[in-house]
Amino acid sequence: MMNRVLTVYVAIVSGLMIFPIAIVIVASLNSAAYLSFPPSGFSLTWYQQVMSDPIWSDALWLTLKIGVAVASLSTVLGVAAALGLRAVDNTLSGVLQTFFLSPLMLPTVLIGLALMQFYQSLGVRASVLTVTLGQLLIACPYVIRLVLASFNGIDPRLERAASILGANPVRVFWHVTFPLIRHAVLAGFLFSFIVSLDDVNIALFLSDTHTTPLPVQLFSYIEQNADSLGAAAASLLVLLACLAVFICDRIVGIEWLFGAKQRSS
Amino acid sequence: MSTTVENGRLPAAGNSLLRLNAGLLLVPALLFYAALFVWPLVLSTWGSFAPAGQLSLETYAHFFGDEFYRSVLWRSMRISAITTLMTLIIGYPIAVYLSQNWRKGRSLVVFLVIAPMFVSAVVRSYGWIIILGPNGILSSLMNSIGIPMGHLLYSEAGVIIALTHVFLPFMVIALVGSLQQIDPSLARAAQILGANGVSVFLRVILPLTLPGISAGSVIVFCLAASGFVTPALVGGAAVPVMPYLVYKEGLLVLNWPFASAVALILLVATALVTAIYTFAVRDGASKRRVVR
Amino acid sequence: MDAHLDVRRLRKAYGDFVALDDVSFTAASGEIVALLGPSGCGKTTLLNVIAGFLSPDKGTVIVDGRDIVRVPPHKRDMAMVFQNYALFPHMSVEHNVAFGLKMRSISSGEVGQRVQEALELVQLGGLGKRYPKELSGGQQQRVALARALVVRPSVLLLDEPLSNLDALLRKRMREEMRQILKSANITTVVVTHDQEEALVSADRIVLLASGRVEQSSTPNELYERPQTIFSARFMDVTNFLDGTVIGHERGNAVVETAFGRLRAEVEGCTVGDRVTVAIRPENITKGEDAGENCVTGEVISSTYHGPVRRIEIEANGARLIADIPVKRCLSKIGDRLSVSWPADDTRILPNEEPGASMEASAAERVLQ
Repeated sequence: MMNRVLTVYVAIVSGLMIFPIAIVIVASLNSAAYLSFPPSGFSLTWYQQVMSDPIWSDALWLTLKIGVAVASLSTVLGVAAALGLRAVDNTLSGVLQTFFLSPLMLPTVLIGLALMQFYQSLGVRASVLTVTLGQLLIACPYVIRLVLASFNGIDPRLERAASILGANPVRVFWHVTFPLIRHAVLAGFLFSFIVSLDDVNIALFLSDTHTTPLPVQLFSYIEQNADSLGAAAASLLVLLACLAVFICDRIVGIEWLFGAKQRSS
Repeated sequence: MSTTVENGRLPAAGNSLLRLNAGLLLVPALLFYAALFVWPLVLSTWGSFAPAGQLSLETYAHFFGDEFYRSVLWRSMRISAITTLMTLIIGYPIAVYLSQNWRKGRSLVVFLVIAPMFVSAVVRSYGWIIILGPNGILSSLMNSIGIPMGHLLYSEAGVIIALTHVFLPFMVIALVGSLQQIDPSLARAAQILGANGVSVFLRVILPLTLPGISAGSVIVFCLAASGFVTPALVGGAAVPVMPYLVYKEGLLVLNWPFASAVALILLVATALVTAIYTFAVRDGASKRRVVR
Repeated sequence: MDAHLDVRRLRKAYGDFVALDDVSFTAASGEIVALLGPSGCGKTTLLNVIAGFLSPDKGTVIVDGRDIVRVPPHKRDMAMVFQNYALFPHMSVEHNVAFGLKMRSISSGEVGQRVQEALELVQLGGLGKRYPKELSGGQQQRVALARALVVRPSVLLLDEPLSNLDALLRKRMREEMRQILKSANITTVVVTHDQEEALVSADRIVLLASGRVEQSSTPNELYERPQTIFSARFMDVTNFLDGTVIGHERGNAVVETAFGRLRAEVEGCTVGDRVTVAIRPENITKGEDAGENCVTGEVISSTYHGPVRRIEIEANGARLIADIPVKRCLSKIGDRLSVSWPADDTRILPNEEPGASMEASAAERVLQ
């Protein structure tokens, strides 16, 4: 009996969890411009408008560029850092790990604010680069954590075996280590993309009128209006995120993404 | 820390030159962090302590001296704490379900509960605006049943509801991790000794999940306190929280020293609460290590 | 005598896999019954059914005349010692042991006293305030035992209670455990895969194979008189010979085998039966005058086993394995050797399939 109650409860909560997101998508398909329930009709005009209006399409394009940049850079930096952490002794490794993961422990608005002040003081204008470098700080830690965790699953004797058979360290990495961690690396890449896609706190401080990623654009818009157009733009963001998650699941399985979100206990 | 690499160490017998070379791989990340993380933070912190170029505490005095700002801090802490509690209460049964039904049907539940985590807070907050707004679903529903109700938009309750939604997955993940570590024969041992379902849960399962509860609570509290988008959209200026203050002072008013001070106060307050909570729980934690 | 625990015709299947197939056995009040068998034979499933963690598809469990097969575990008034002890890590030893008493709402004064008694019974008197993670494996095992005994259950269940201990500790604990159980006088069911443990600890052994009861008898009977090839093999009989009963003579059965005519204990077999003759290696002696049966053959292998040498002799295409005391044995490979043994030590088992006995003894050799 308890089990049935539990199942019903879980069903209700699961529904409520997806409900706000679903409602946005439903609103985007409303033929009426204003939000109304039940929806007046079905229409894709808002999507057309979003794609054709440069304010939105530029923002979308920018978000994609930044997303790929963040994903690529964080993967390279993160994998390198993880490899480096593996090579140094335990205490130093522990300290450095905490250091690398520290951006996640700070309020992101603090990071955004500090970076904004920094760039302004140097006269550096907002650009793809500045936003990317800012979001890197909250993406790298996940890559590092994922790759480190995946190291734990590697039998050290495998690398010794390769070594004794004549492989130099680079080849050991390429032929033995990397294949064993590639799932973590890919998950880290996709996760960084999603982090960049979703971030507002940092991008908000590092944007200007010429450099406005989609979430920031959406935020400003929604602050003033609540209508179907905004819903369409929002749904695009959801679509992108789903795509990234889907790709991750196809290639490495969705459990890797959950592993990224776990804190150390 | 469990993420500290122990098993994954490079072969210790490897020569030191190898380890030096590999250690150099740390340099790019270190440089990056130092130049574009630590340094800007240092500058910002300095700015808060030296608003006019000279060391002074006037920004902080300005904050703590004003009742409005104090109320914002208090509101942030309060909202975060309530959100944490809500995610715990709502999330615990979900975690129990997920840890038990690991095979059947869990994929759908996992997807529905965890996937929202990957969607931007902007989108989710927008969803709540639609639901909680004056013409929103909730109001329409309540009115049609005959219960007149104002709308929850721009209210603290609305913000808490939205925040709970946003951070529930984090709590569930932390709890599931903890539940899955419990030796299944413990429940059976309790049962055969005479404990009914409720007793087994209260006396055996719940105490053993305290590490998970603690970890989840810390995560949710910190995230909720630093969350900007959701309170800004769902609460607006009517429900000002610390991150909103940072935004307003930093981007609108352009009072950077003060904005930095607010951000730092938020950081310290969150850290303090977390530390107190962790120490309070840590006391009995050492005895709860699972015995293998 | 009245059975205190009566397990009747239990059947439990998981899809195509039948874990328990018409299993029945009884235990008298205060009796220690061992469920013995190789892994996968269903003994743990059987124990879980008795405990109530699993429901059988068919059959029932009766305790003290009461059918309890539908009663949930926490109402069965039983107790269980788990293989990994399942001590509550967040409770002290005292609280662990007191748990069952608390569930029975016993007054705290009495709880304290009984906990202390139970701890002293297992010789852990001073360790009440410690936590499980601070104890050794052997100590944890005793706490688990104390926790189960203190509630004075009507039936005590033990699931491989010693298998997590190292070999030396296990030997010591076997006898100690039997003493404790006997003095507690509780009907006990012990699951084990270790035949020596069953022989030492139990009053009666139920041997299981593939979900069925292969044999149910006292340790002595099971050892001396296994009733099937499986039982014999499980109890370390190594010699199995196909034969045909050709007559009865002076209280012995005469069986025609590859080694010629052997005399065996009469087991109710009739002339003309195809049977399997089973002989324990330790019952075979060097020389020709140790019994009615004598075989002379060529030594084809000789392995040192500590107190004995295990000699394999080949004659007439068949092989015999004998354990000869080292001091008496100077044979080398290739020597001719005569061995003999009495008819009383020669068992007759039903011949299960043609060649089954050959397979059984072949398997024995490979495993050596």
